[in-house]
Amino acid sequence: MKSKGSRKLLNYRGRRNLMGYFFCAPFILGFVLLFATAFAKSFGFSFNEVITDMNGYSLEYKGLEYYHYALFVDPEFVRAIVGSISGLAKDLIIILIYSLFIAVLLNNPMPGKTLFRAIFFLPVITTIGVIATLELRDSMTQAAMDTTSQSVSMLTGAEDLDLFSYIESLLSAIKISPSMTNVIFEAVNGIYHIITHSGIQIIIFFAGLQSISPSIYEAAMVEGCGRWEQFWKITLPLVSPLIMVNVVWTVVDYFINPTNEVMQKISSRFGSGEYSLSSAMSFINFAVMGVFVAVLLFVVNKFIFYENK
Amino acid sequence: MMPISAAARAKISKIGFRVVVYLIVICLSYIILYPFIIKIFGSLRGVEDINDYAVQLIPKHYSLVNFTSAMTAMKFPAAFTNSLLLSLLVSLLQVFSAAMTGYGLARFRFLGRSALYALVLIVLMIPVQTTMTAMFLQFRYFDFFGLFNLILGHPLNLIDTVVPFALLSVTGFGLKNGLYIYLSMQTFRDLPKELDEASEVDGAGAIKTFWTVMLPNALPVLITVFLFSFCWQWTDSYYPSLFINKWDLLPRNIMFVVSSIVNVESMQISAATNAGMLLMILPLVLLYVVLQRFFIQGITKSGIVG
Repeated sequence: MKSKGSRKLLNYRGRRNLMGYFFCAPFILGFVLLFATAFAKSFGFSFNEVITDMNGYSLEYKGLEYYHYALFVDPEFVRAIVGSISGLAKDLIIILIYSLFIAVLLNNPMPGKTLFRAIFFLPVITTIGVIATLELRDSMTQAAMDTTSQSVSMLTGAEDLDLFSYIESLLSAIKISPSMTNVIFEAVNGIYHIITHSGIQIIIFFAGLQSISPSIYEAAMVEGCGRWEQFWKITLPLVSPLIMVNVVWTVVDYFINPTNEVMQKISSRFGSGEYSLSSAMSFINFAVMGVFVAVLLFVVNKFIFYENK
Repeated sequence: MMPISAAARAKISKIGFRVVVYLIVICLSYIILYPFIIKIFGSLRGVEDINDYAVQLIPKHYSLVNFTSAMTAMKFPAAFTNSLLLSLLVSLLQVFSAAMTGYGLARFRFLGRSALYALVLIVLMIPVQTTMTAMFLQFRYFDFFGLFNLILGHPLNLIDTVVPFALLSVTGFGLKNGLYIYLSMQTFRDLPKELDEASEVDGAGAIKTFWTVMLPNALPVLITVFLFSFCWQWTDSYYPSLFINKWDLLPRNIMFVVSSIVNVESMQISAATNAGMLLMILPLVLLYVVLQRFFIQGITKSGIVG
């Protein structure tokens, strides 16, 4: 009897698990039909010279030539990759803490919350797609114009009405040394950088916080649990699976954002018809990012609390 | 000194907490809004103000001329409608694929699950640019296991139709789809086991359990997926440039603003571009404000979470 019961259970479990294929069926189909060949093709491009002619293109095998060029001949590619790694190492933790902090603040019931939530959603829009491209272009022309207007005002001796220079003169008036002023300005610039790069992370955490039932907090309150304790014992464990998503997304966004220096190099190579080199560069970028993500997933997974292990 | 009662102390600490929260939120809001304020005022400048150096921020002559010229250059009504329909189609299908795949990976232990999980991460990490040439060829000469070649004698040309968008989104290989699958997977993974067990004890099958019990509990995250997906498609110019090069779409037509306004100073072009950007951004903000109301409704409806 007993063995029959356990076999039945196993069968049920087994049958139930087969439903996994049903739910993943669209994804598996998409992989087979759309992604696998496209991926394999562009991987193949990185080992071959692509020769385009009237009726399409042909390939000529070149081995690791393009990888060698990207890694050892191109003077800027490796430097750009190192740049994105060091930038990421500096920003990752700050972005995570900042975005969780803001999401918790915005989750508070307070007057005007809809307005504030809408404001903190704005960085999501300004960092994606064509808006990000236009913003980047705008900030570059702005910078060019600032240098010209600065040199003009230096020539004419006219007072610049810029907010920053105003604060600068204010700080020097209250006898704060220029080096200290620099530190303050760098911090302000840093804050701006973090704010514009955490839009998506904030919304993801916010969705997670919204999924926590208020009754849990009410129960905790009755038990005499303070705000600080509530954060560590309820909020953090329950949003921790989303920390993984945000870690991965922050890394990926750093590496594949079109405004990233590496991606711009890849696009400009692609634009000038060097398909194979641009493809090799994308796969090097992909490999570096893959190692980063794998290590982080391994480390962070140890600290994640799942409701069902 | 007067002794302060415990209740009063609690009240003071509550007010103090509020004040600190407001201070932080207002300061950061200012930093976020500052570029937008410049944009809004800059785009409201009349022609007289464009080269007036006395006008720093607040225009002397308000005018909607930049908005009207941006709208004409963008062919706004047509581009808006097309972008709206395309983004709706893509985001609804992406929510479907994210929910399905995320649920399948999160709640079932089947052979090849880890490989699929790794694949989701890979899809997330591959930028559009890497596979786009190959993707284009894929849809230019589309075939389904040699079926179309057999029947029609040639593969299908799906370029200049919405089919590539629909196929990529419904299978989970659309724009940023890896992020959405991963997000929904982590959410389903964290829902308590009792939820589906209770439903299955009641005799519901896996599909019914998914639809009636699991989906409502993941609603805030799925709405977020919809929101992200909509915004990304709304602003994306990569896939449209590959698949539907002839359509009027906002992210493509905003580039016309720069080229259409010839014979005028760069300041006016930048004012019109700002106006065009605001016209693109505003619908997304409205969408967010409307959608975030549903976040809370999702919870109160389904009741049990955690």
